[in-house]
Amino acid sequence: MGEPATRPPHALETRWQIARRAVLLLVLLYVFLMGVNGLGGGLRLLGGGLLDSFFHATSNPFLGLIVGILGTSLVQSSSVTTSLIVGMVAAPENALPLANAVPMIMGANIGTTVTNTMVSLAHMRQREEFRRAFAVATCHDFFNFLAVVLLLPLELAFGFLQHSAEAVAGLFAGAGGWAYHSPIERAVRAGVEPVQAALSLLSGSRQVQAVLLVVSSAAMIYAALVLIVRNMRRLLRRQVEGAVQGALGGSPLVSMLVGLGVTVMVQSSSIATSLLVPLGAAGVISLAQAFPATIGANIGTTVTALIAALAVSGPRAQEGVTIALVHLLFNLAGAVLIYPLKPVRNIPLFFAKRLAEVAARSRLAALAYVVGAFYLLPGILAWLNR
Amino acid sequence: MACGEKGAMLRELINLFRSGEPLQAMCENFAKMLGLSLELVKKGGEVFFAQSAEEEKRRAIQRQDVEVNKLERKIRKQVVVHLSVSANAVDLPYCLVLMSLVKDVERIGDYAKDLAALVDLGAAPLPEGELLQELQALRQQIERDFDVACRVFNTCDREGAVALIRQGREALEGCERLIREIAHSSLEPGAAVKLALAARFYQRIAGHVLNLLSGVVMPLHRLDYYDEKDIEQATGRQ
Repeated sequence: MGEPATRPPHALETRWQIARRAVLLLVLLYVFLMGVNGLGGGLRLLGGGLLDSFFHATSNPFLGLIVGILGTSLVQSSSVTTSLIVGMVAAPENALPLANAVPMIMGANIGTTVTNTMVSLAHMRQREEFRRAFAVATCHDFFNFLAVVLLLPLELAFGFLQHSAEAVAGLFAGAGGWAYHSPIERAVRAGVEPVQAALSLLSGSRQVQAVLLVVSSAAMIYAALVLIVRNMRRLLRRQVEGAVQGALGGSPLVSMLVGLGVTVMVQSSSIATSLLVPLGAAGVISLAQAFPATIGANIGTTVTALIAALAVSGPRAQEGVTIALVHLLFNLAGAVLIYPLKPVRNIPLFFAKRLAEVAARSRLAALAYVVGAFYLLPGILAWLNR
Repeated sequence: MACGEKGAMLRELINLFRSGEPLQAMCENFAKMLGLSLELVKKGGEVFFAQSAEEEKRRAIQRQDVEVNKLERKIRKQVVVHLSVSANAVDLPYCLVLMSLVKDVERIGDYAKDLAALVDLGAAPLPEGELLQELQALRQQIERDFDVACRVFNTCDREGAVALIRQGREALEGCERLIREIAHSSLEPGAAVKLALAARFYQRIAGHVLNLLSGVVMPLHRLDYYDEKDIEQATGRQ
């Protein structure tokens, strides 16, 4: 009590603290890559029998899409899902077929939008504020719905994303059929081998060891990504804030690049798009200003799968790189198809505005949308298609 | 797009991602706002006491007032973005103080503009005499106090703020007394209205300067309170 309200700006984080965080980030990145690499090893050990039904089910693109939506909505991170998919596609044996993985990647894009929609629910008490917040949050949802509606049929008919990604991945492998070699694969393997050895001490059964390796690898990916996001956000707090401040008065292209940059910095599109929600609620940014930043975040999030592809090795490593590139190309194609033309760009904005108006009138409708679109509907559809 | 334009855009983008201290940026904008408002008060006083209807001077005052208003909105946006992005509870009091004080400084700008606009009430010169001298003395004191208050606020000088609050309260009382004297004077109505309104505008300017100073002395919930009892309570709890 009695402290004056004003004070000089506080001291910045010390260099020592920054250095410590940077080292921690490197360690977490290594753990993340170990998880991706270990996942492939786990699937190889698991054997075909257990995975056949999953591979068979996801050969239906619709079900693959739903698996992607549901899985990502549950873990609330497309980075986790896409990294798992990269690991599964690149597994040396019993790998997830590339064609099955493409709709799953698209589903992950939709599933990740649930986070900022949930963030917007915090503004429910103030009707007008909530209307603005919900519109800013759901423009991400509708952009991704529209991207899937436009691109999935094209992909099923022509396989253009897969073929383009294969062509680009071929450049990494070099001309003349050289195999893709990850530059850091050996270092990552050196970390995974002791984990495998430790798990083999726990059980003599190959199946149990495989399950333990898959579960521990997925846990490593999840935990490492959560901690990376948390640390990056703290480490780059001022840069993120500066970029957001700068984007407020900038052109749509600047907003898009800021959305992309912030997502790459914090390694999470959910964080980047969730930052826009309170700003939209306060009316500091309009829906039209938030939209390009959201699209930028969508593109920026693909960098995680590309990083994950650094850890894969073996005969299917190139497929791992290919699926990471599919994620990038899908989001780039979505941006190119939807944003430049005003009538197309207005479609997700129209739906976001309309839904926000309904949600502002009935909070129950807002909750029903979140639960229904991201959990209930995909769950029912998955069950019907089982 | 030309090569130069591309380079400029890239530089702009790189600058966006360069780390800066957000609170520092808000402080700088607020200091700029204070400086502009002080100038406005001086210019408004000049126009009023000279009873000059020079278009150029009036336009300059209006332009400066628009600048002050823009800075008010800019600081508010910065505060909202800072609190939303950094979620930093430590910075919350300072941000809320800024949110409140930008309104005070913006109002100071408005009163300065209104002061200059009193010329429009008629071209008659101000009545010479004791009342005008009193008003001029009050103007000098309030402008001087505002000048010092800007420095006191920017340096968070607590003792300086307390002394200035005590001094500023006298100016408020002086304005009130002058308005009563004008009401009971034999001035012709047009001149009396001009002087009374000017005294009232200076009183409001002084009041907003005191609000500004309360931000240095008082805890957040007692912002805008600057009675002796409040000051003693705040300074006694140091």
